[in-house]
Amino acid sequence: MVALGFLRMTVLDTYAAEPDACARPMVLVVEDEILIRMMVSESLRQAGCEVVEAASADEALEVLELSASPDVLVTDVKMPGSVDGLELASRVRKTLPGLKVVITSGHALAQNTFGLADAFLAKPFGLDQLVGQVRALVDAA
Amino acid sequence: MRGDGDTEAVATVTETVLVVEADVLVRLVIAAYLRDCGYRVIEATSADEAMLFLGRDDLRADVVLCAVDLGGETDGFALAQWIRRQRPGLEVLLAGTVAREAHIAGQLCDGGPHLARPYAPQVVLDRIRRLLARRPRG
Repeated sequence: MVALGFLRMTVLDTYAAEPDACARPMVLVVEDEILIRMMVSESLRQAGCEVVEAASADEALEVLELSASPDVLVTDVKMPGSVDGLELASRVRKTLPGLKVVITSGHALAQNTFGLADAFLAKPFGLDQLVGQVRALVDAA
Repeated sequence: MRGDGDTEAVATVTETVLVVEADVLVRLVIAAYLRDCGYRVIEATSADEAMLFLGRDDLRADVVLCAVDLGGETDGFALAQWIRRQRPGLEVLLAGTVAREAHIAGQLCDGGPHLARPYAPQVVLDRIRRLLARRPRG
């Protein structure tokens, strides 16, 4: 069991203590496939974003509970765990209404994400496309 | 979250550290710290993910920082053994909390007996630096 008190402080410190980190948009990437998660996260980092990675919606909820709020959530739909990406987006809409949501999926249809997402990207998508979408949402905020 | 005395670590570091850690909150803290220190960090949540990454010929890591307890069928010990077979020469740092784990980790890893969890970021950094420094160049 990890020391949660220590972690809570450290996670918050990670994003609160560094002016550079605060100045950059923070993106929470939720994707269960490591290679996709890696490519998406590295592309966003290269574009100047602070990226937090979660491998499931459950992990994302854990991060959101303890860490500073991201500016954009990028989430896959179909993932292992108790919650899928659509349910994650639904919960986030209620608890963090200012958080921009991008849903990506190779299975779900765009119309299924109506009201849950600010943008939908069908897989496979281009990394430039994703980065451009995230940037547009941050700029519009 | 860079700590005192880390400045020298930030610079031209281009090595890749594969962090294998099932606890997202632990993983994000240590990954953020290592990125702050200039490393490229790949995050894996399980041994399966780590093996998927390391099994690719077009991807590489220089050091694997791996928790012993990964919550799945394959633990950190089994992953370290797999790495020894499949990627000889790749440095592995195992981290756990129990004395017995420390003993087994000491037999599996050349880079020291073991790391204690929760991670002390500066200790992890020092250990990674030492492992990378002793690697043959070229």
